[in-house]
This record gives sequence, C-alpha cells and structure tokens, in this order.
Amino acid sequence: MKIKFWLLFSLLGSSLFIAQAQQGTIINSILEGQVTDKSNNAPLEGVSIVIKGTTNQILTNSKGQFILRTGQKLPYTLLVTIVGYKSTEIKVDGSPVKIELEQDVQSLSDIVVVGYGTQKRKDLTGSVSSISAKDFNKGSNVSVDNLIAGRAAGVQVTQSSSEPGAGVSIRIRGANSINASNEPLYVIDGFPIDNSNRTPTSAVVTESAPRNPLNSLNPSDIASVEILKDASATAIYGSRGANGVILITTKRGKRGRLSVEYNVSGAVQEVAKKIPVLSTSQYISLLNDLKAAQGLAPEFTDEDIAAIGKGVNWQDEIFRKGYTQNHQLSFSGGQDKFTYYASLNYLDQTGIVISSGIKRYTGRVNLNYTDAKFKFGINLNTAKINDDYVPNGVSINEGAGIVNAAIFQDPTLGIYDKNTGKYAQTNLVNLENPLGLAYGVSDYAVTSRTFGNAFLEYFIIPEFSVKINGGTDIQSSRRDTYLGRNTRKGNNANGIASVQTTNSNNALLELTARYAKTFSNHSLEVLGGYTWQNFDWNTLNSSAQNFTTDAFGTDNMAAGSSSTFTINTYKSRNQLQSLLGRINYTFNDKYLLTANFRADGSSRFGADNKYGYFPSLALGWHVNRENFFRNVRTISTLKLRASYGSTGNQEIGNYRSLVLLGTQGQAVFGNAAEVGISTTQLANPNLKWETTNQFDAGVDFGLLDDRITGSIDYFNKNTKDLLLELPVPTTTGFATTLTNIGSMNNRGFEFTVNTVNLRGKFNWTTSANLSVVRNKVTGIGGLPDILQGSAGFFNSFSILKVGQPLNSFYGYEVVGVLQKDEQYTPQPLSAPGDLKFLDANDDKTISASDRKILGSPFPDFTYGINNSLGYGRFNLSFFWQGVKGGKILNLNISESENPISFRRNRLSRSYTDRWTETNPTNENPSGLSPAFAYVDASGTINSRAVQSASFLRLKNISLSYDIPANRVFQSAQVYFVAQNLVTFSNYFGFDPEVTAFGTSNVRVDYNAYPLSKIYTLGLNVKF
Amino acid sequence: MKLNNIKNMKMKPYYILLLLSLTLGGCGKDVLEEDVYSSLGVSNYFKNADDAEAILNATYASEQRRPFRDYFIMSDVTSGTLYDRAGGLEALAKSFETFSWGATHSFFSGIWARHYTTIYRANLVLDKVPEIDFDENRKKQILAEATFLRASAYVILKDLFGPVPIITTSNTSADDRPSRPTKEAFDKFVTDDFKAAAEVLPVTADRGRATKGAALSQLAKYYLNNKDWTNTADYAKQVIDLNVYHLFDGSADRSELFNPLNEDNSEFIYIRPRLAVAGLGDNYISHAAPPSYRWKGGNKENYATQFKTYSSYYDSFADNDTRKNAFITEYYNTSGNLVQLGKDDIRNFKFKEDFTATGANSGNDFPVIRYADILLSRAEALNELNGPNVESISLVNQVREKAGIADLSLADFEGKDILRTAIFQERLWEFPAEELQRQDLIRQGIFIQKAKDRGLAAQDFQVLFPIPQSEIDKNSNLTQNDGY
Repeated sequence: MKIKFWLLFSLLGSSLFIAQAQQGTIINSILEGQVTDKSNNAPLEGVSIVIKGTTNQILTNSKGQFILRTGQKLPYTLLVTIVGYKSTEIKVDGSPVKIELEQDVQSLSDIVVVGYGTQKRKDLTGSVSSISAKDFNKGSNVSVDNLIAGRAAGVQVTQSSSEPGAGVSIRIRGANSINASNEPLYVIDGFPIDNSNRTPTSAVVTESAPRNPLNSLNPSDIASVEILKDASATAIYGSRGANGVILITTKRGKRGRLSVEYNVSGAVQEVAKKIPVLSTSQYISLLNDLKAAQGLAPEFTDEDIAAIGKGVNWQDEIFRKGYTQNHQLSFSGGQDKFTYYASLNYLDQTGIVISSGIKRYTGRVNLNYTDAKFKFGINLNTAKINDDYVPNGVSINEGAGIVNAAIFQDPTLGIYDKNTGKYAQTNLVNLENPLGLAYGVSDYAVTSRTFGNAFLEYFIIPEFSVKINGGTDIQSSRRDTYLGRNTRKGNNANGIASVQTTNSNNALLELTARYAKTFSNHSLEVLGGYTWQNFDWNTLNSSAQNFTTDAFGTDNMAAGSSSTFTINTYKSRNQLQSLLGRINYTFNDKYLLTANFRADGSSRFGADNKYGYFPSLALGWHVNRENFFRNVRTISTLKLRASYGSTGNQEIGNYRSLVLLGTQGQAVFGNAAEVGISTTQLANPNLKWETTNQFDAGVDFGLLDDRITGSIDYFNKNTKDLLLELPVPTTTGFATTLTNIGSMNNRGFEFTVNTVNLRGKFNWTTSANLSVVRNKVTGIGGLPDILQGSAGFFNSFSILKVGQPLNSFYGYEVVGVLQKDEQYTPQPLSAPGDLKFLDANDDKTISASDRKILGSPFPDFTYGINNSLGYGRFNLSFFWQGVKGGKILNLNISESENPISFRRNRLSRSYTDRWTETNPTNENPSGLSPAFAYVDASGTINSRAVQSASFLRLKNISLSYDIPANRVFQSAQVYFVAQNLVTFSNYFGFDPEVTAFGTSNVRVDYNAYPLSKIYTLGLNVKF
Repeated sequence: MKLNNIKNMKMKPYYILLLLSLTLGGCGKDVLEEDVYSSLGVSNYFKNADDAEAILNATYASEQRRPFRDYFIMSDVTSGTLYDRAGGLEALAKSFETFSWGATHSFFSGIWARHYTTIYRANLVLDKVPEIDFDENRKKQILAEATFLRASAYVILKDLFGPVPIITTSNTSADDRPSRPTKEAFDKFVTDDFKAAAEVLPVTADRGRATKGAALSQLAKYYLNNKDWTNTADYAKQVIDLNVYHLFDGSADRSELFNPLNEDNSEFIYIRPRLAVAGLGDNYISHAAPPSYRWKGGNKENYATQFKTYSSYYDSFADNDTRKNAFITEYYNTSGNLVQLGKDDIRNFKFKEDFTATGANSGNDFPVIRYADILLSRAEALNELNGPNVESISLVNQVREKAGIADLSLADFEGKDILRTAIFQERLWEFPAEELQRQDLIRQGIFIQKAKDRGLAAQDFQVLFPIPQSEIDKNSNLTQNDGY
C-alpha cells in the first residue's frame, strides 16, 4: 500500500507543477480604494477584495489601501470581507472608492470550524459551541480544558485533581458508555489526536489521574475551540463522535507586517482549603478516651504527652505556596498569499504540594498559503514536558500517597527520627512519613511530543477542490522513579529504582474532495473523503532493588542486585479506515439541510463487525428571513434546527475480540521459575460498535437587533450495544467479558444567552449558560444490577441498575446512632454509640441486601455566568460557575470512620462530637467499634460518605488595563486574574469537582490533590 | 482560465486519486486485521511440547501464587490461636475473629475466583494438550498433573464453601450458569480425579510438582475430612509405603523444618514453592514481625498489620517441645533495645527468616501436605475405626519424638474419645499457620463451640462460609449455603 501512496504523491505533485505554469493575465482595468472601520475610521489591513464572479483576490495593505489591476472590465462588483466585520458588496465604476465596514458584533456571522471544514455560524444546522480566544478563561492555564471550563452549555469539565498539569475529564451531554471511554475526541487543526495518556504511570502509587496528554498543546497558541455536540455535527467523525468532538484551532498569522507579541505572567497559588483532621491534642484525647471506654490503659501517658509536645500538622508540612511563570513569545504576519505564526512558550509551575510541578517548553509554526488554485498549510507543534511528581493516588497503606498520609499519619510521630536524623517512620501506622514520601521519592517524567499536519488543497475549478492532509503525532516519554532510604518501603528494600518508557506514534492520511456552488437560490456543498489512521505504541519498563547506596538513583540500575531485576515490554497497534461524506444545502438562505455519512472501520472489533455506519441528517430554518416575519421588530434572528443521527464509540483498548494467550504468572519447581502461558480473556468474536442515536432540536435567536442572542437546545441520546465489561460467573475462569449489551439514555436542555447590556464608553456584556442532563441506564443485559467501583479499602460502591443514573452510589443508609437502653430490632448485637442502618428490605436484620442507592453522581444542572464590564481602557470580568445537585463519594470519610489501625489520625468531622454516654448525639457514632457486626464495614460504604457536590464558585475574576500605544509598541495590556477565589459549598473535602478516577464516571473523592487559589499578574505587549 | 482547459489538464490525476481512494478502501480487510505483538493467538499456539508445559505452568502458577493470608486468616483466626491487629488487614480479619463475616467479604470472592481460574487453566491443559503431538509419556504426566491441580482446587473450594459447581471444560461462555452438585457427586468427582492422577504421576519429581505421593496424600486428607476412616487409613498407608517420605531429622529442633535452608526435605510431600524474587516470594514474616523488629538477614518489609498469637496457645506447649521455638516473646528492635512482647502478643516465626531475602519476598516454601499430617491422619483414622491401638500411638509418637517430647503410652488411653482428643491436640501443636486448624476443629466437631466459648455469637451454619454474593448475583442457579 505504501507504494500506492507514493504514486499518489508523485501524481499530485506533477499536476501541481503543471498548474503553476498556467499563470498570466491581461490588464483591462485599474481600481484604487481604501477600506476603513466605520466606527473609528481606522484603516483596515488584510481585507479581502474579490471581484464578484472571479477568483481574483487581493488584500488591503497596512493603510487599508488596495489597487486592483485586472483583466475584468468596469463596472464590476467587489466583495469586501474580513473576519469580524459585516461583509459588503459594492459596485464600482473605476473611480477610487472608500469602503467603510461595520463591525460585526453578532456571533451568528462568525466562521465556525466544523469537522473537515468551516461553516458560517448562520448556516449551522448542528449544535456547536464555539469559544474564541477572547472568551477563554483568563489566568494561569496549563492546558486547553482550563480555557473552556464552564464556558459552554452541555460541556462539563471536571479537573481530576488540581495537581500541576493534572488530567481532566470532559463530559459532553452526559455519559454514554459504561466501560468504553466517555471522553470526547480532540481534533487539533484537522488532525484527530490520540488523547490517551502515554506517560508511564507511577511506580509508587496507583495514580488517580494521569497528567493531561493535552499539556503538550500550549493554550496561548489556541485561537478558538469548537465543541460539536449533536449528531449532525459529530457524525462526520463517526466511530469517535459519540462523546462529542472538541475542535481546537490554533492561531494563524494575519496579512500585514511582522507582529511580535510577548506575554509574560507570574502567578501565586495557595491551597484553597485544608481538610480538618484532629489536632495532636484532640487525637491524643480521642485515643485515650477510646481506650478508657474499653477499660484499657491510656494510649498516651502524661509523660508521652509531654514528650510529644505540639506534634505535627502534616497538611501544614506538605502544602506550600506554588508559583507559576509563563513566557510566550509569538511572531506572526504575512504577505498577500502567505501567512505565518510562530511561537515559543515556557511554563514553569510548582504545585501547592511539595515536590510537585511541571515545566513545559513548546514551539509552534503555522504556515498558510492561499491563492486561487492552491491552499497549502503546515501546523507543527513540538513540546517537551518535565513532570515532577509527588506520589499521590488511591492506593492504601504502604502504597498510599502523600495526601492520604498527611490526613491519616499519626500526628504524634515527629518529622525526624531523633536517632537516625532520617524521616521518622512508625510501624503503628502503615503509612509513610509524608515528608519522606515527598523528599525520599524522586519521580520525574520527561515527555517529548511533536505533532502536526500538512495539507494541500487544489482547486481544480473554483467550485471543486481535492485535498490531501497528512499528520503525525510522535510521543516519547520516560519516567524515572527512585524510592530511597528516606521512605519505609525504599529502606526495607534498600532502594527501589524504576525506569519506564513509552513511545507512541499516530499517523493520519486523509484524502478529501469538496464541491461548493451557489446557483441562484441554491447553495450546495458536497464533501467526500477517505481517511486512514494508525496508532502504535510500545513500552519498556524495568526495575531494580537492593542498592548499596541511594546515590545512583535510577542512573545505574545494574548496581542493584540482579535477583530483583524486572523487565517488561509491550507493543500494540490499532487502525481506523473510513469513508466520509457530507452535503450542505441551503435554499433561499432560509432553509438549510446537512446530511453526513461516515463508514468507519476499526481494527478493534470482531472479524465480521469491523465496519460501522454512521449517518445523520439535520434541517434548519431561518424563520426571521421569511416575509411574514419582516414586521417582527423585536426578534432580529430566529433559526430553528433539528438533527438526528448516529455516532459510535470504539474506545475499548485493543485486541478485545480475540482469543489471546499471554504470560500468566510463573510456576516454581525446585529453585527455578518457569513462565506460564494461558488465555488472558474470555474472548468475544462478535464484538462490535457501541452506537449512540441522538435527536437534537434547537433555536438560535437574536432580540433587539441582536443585542440579546442565544440558543436553546433539547437533546435525547440513546446509546445501544453498550460496550460493557459484563460480569460473568467466575466458574468460567474469568470475571468479566467485554460484550455489546445494555443501553443508556441521556437527555436534557441547554441554554445559552449573550447580552449587550450597555454600549459606549461604559460597556457591559453578559453571557450565561445552563445545562440540564438526565442520565439513566436503560439496559444491562438482564442482570438485576452490576456493582462497580474500587478504591482504597472500598469496593462495589457504585451500581448500574436499569432506570437509575449511571454509577449511582450504593451502600447502607445510616438512620442514626444507637442510644443507651435503645433496642434497634435489626441490630440486636450493636452497642450504644454504634451506627444504626436502614433495614431497607424490612427483614428485621441488617445484611448485604439492605444496601440501597444513596444518590446520583449527575448534577441537576450546571451553569456559568460571565459579566464583562468595560470603562475606557479598563475591563473587569468575573465568571461564576456552578453545579446544583449531584453527589460525590468521599472515601476519606469512610476510611476515617473505619480506621484501618487504631493509631491513624482521623477527620475531625464525626470524632470531635462523637457519641458518648454524656453526649448522646444521634449524629456521630462512638468510634469504638469500627468493624460493625452487621455490615462489611471494611469494604462497603454508607450514606455518611455520600456528600452533596453542589457548589457555586467565582472561578475567575480579571481586571485589565490597555496601555495606550506609543512608538515602542502597538498595544499593551496589564492584567490581574484571581482564580477560584470564592467557593460556596457544603462539601467537606478539598473540592467537590474532583474525581479520583480521572476520567471515569464514578464520582469519588479520595486523597485528591487540593484545589488552589491562583493569583496571576500579567503583561501582554505587541510590537 | 477556462473550464475546458482545466478539465483537459487536470481531470486525469483527479480520476487517479479517486481510483486510489477506492483501492485503498477495498483493501480494508487487511488494514483492519489486528496485529498482535505481545500476546499469542490460537493460531500460533498449542503446537509443541513447550507450549504444553507452559499452559501447565500457568495452572501451577495460579495455585502456587495464591496470596497466603486470606486463606490463612480464614483458617487460623477462626480457630482462635491467632488474631490480627492494625494495618490494612485488621478490618478484613476482624469479622473472622468475631464470627461476623458476610457473603460480600472480599476474601470469599477472591478465593472463589482464584481457584476457578486454576480449574479453567487445568481444563485448558486437559482440552488442548491431547491434540499436541509430542512424547506420549510426558503428555500423560502433564494431563495427570493438570488433573491433580484441578482436583486440589476443588478440595479447597469444598473446604470453604461445600460442594461447588464442577467445571470440566475450558470452553466456557458468558452464558454459563452452572449449579452445585450433590455432595456424593462432588466427592466422587474429586476422588476419581486424584485416583486417576495417582496412577500416572511419578513417585518423585522436582519440588513443587505433583507426584504420586501428593495425589495419594490428597486422597487420604480428603477422606479424612469426609470422615471416611477406612479410605483415610488405606491411602495414608499407601503414602507411607511409598517409602520416600520421612519426618525431618536434619535438626533436633523441629522448628528448623521451616527454615528455608532446610526446605529441601523428604517430609514436605507437596508444597507451594516460593523464591526470594519479586512476585514469587512470601511475606508471612512481614506480618508476624513486631514493630521495628531488627532483621537478622536482609532488610524486609515490616507491615503495620500484626499477626499475634494468644498466650494461652503458646503456653499450651510443653517447655521441651521444640516446636515452641518457632515463637518469639521478645526481640531486639532496630535501636538495639530488647523489647518484651506482652500477653497475647506472641509472634509465630514458624516460617523462619530467609536471610537472603529483602523487601516482601521471602523464599519460604509453604507445605500443603507433609508427612507428619499423613502419619497423624492414619493415627486418627485407625483410632476411629478400632479405638486406641498400638499403631495409632506409634504414629503419634513418631511426631512427638521429633518434637522432643515424651511418648504417649497406649495404657493412658482408655477410650476412642481420649485418644482422639490427644491426636487433635497434637495436630494443634504441629500445624499452626499451615491452614489446617479450622478443618481440624470442624472435623473434631468443636469449631463453633470453641468460638462460643470465646464469647462469640457463632452459629452452627458457620462451619461453611457463604458463597460469594457476587457469584450468586451472576448465577441464579447457584444456591447459597444455609444460614446466609
């Protein structure tokens, strides 16, 4: 096949060469003119001037002037266009013209990037949220998701953790899938990228959230983000469209002289909230009280207490102020047919937890060439990221991370061991010393990633073009981890070194053809194409222990003892091959039709089910352009839209349909280990696509001459053939098999409104969005329910059940605390001060079957409101983001109330006001019998840990001042931004927005990296 | 530029482009074939003797690499000789200490799944190996080893849960809903498998492999726990008559039997071998070691969780019983101070420190069945059959002599009951931490009573554990044990 591609390239090349030879014109007329901004009379540079009916195009110079020397005879009509202004047609007779353009404030005229092309917003039939640079969240942003969080209706951005560069989970219109990914597809400048995390995972802890793969894309390079939500918009991405698509467009140069821009900012981060745990004195008195209540000698004698003194507040020890500096230098400009944009960026952020941070270096070059016959472009991004990790995650005991250790470590353990001078360790609590974990573990990753694409579009005739687009994304990452003798684990093994590497490579080839023509009232665009994409990745992991010294770290692993060496390699590939097509048809500028089709083939499915077919159809109607609407003055824009279509999901990992044999442990005979090989999965040769059918109906409106604009959308998505890890009886030899079973429904509303409240010197605009999503599981293959979820000491805490939201929380409901002399029939053995559980099935005893649904992780609604106030050169904007309803499970509460060992510290919640005979509260148990006689307290959860996740947050407040231009610079701005300044929430943990599972739908907070407040001061100068 | 020109000049490459796209589309099947690199497929496996050995190895791996502590806690904590405090394990072990376990306890689902994995892999061997063309003799042995491993997994499942579904094929499906067989059918299946294996298995093999003696011993033990005394006595005799097993005589101190230096002995009939290598080691000692214990050999994990032995059990040993030497009552900590362990805080260092090991990977082999067990099993069976007799006394005395304590005398045992009690007492001293105490107490009929004596609300049905709730949920044909 390679040979065929080369043949194609060379053929295409030679035809281009011929085309170049076809130039040459005769001059029949000359026309001079100037284009200015109507509002301030300023000349406009880079305005496109085209003689109607021809392809002749020139651009205005920096003074807004142009001269047309053409073969066209006068008079003729000019089409005058530039982004941001209303396009104009003007008839000219040869005398110099002065053209005034009116600024286009309505977003409805904007050009919107859609799959495999662009469209005018007014012609859209699908549901697309478009966020341009001016609407991005300001402040210190490491990755693109920070820019758009809260800005678009129906798009829920959940930061898995607030660690520098941490991963993010984005849900567009709810969650479709149980075991396949629910993350949207990311397309950067037309290149669909593999957004799976390829940085090796921690060798120390089970990380809750790997870092964000999009960190390699510098957010300052982004010009706009489009979020495709309905089937009409996403079906062109077929198998990868079901979760929505995020199109990222990077900045282009503008025609005109070189413009150099330097943006520098510095930020300070501080922990927004700490978790209240028992202070040293509270801890001592609690433990002594508990001992006394059991008739035992005190845990701490007066002598001990005197020796302990103040003890340690571990959270104070591990949190610090974090600092960020960000430098962005960009160069852009262009000549009439050629534009360029290049940038260099350096970001250095230290985390608010000691020993964590990220450093990033990125470079980008975007080149674009456009003439009447050719469009050619290159987008190239390269990044190097140095991640500094502090071990943090969801593992437990000796594997627990720093936040877990800081919450639960014994506060009476000093920081240092007085004898050795090393970090103190204790065998009474199976946790590392948090500081030992931070400074005794060296954990760094270096990731290099270069991705980009080049395209060539050839206009055979003005109406018909063919395009070839090729892209590649090459990423290599190496993570070095060393646990030295300052950690308990490292000390016991005499040092543990681990080096892990991954290499991934993603290649894209797209061949598309486009035909666009307007005949009188009909406007037609037809797109067809073929795409092929290949994803390769491989890993090499090695580890060694038992070093004579910590000095080598990971740099000389042969210094460990060879019996401890481990090595592992893995290689994997998957491919996609697709045919796609789209028709956009507009009649009379009033009636719109979009039809999409994609046939997608994925290597991941069963031999007979490789291909999936994803059609969609959408209709639109500009009601306000109808004659009968002419007299309706208040409504300036009214467009109705409706779409229906199918999209798919193939995000399940490779090789799941096959019978595979792999290494399955080692047998030992005598003193030799021999590798065993056996079947690794219960294969499903019929594995096929998960399909989502979505209906969307929407209204785009503008009132009062579009001072108020907005949209309302209703959607209803049904996902069928869910890719489900179906639990099977383990008598089969396996626990689960991936099966197309079950179904899910998501439906809801989205509202967006933008208003211009005041115009003039003092101006005020508001934009707001609100979304409502109702999710429910509608089928799980006949099983009564499926229990999922496992973190920390707890498992099976979320449930899949028909009619209930996906992964609703599942456990015992606490109805109170057993009082003295009280008889609670279902729990005859309980002691006063024990929790009373609801006898849900009313069988007069408490058992596993009394567990019930304790809440939904889905919010009732989410909203965002931004206000921007301008006065002269000052601008103040503040952005509120909120979530109402929905629950989050805090497993730190469960852990604290079922302490795994007596000497662990506890959350002060529930212990400072615990039940005693003299404090007969019905709120909190006595804390005496953590292992309840009736419930498997060690593994299950109860309602005390299921918390409201509602919040309202002043996510962003920014103040900027535009410095008047002078001889040194064209423009300059100073700005100050505060992020996460205020949060109103009853939530107990650091932040109700986290998710310990990174990208999963199980909403759990467990040892989250705390939220930070960020204060950024920046300067932006354009030369 | 006129349209005609363009047409003439440019249409040709465009056609080719279109043609090429179609061609590319046409070769889709090949493009989308999955290339597998780090695993094997059915097409390139089950071909030769090495493949047969490797799938057998995976079956052994599943059995040998079973985490020791779940089963250990279920046996020894419920028996009241030991308990666990602190660390991640306390809450999990607590319900076994207090007889309050429920069907959702993670130990049950873990053990159930582990042994059905072993059974699946054994079935894969039994299904695939006959089709492979290689040395017929070794082929028969491999099949016998797989049969042995499968039956051994069923022994453990039955010990915990009673009769469980019998699976005899690797061709399993997500739709399988097997039900539980009768006790008779289950017993016949297991004993037939062992008998068939015993016919083929060699008398000696590398340590860790199934042998004829291992299969005969499994039969003796299975019949013992079924109180089928005749067969117990018979199969125990067959093991003895193989003349390859002897009580350990490498040291006058019987506790040295469990020193990793002495593990290549003729007393261990069948073992789960461990190596001091990552993933292949054992971490018993990391649970038993008291806080800040100063290791004599390589530095090891010392878990927060602590296996503590009751003083009453420790005190029951005669002072000259060398098996008592396995326990420590005081130790030097890392600061060099001698620390006294208090009441009910005795540490059983039965699986002695592996000096070469570091971290959590010690090389102590775990004896599944050893010769002393066979001797005491025959002694018990003969007593049940004939009442106190010379041979039973002599068998018990063989063990007592190795422990350094005085012989029993037949004259001291007037009735079957008294000798039975003495034999069980001997077993209690001989087999702590060997996962046998629970089944011994159940056989003796005092498992529940002893728990009640400790003040617990134990109930008679708790001689069996519940079928894991998650399995009942997935398989409606699976019936729960009475009482749960």
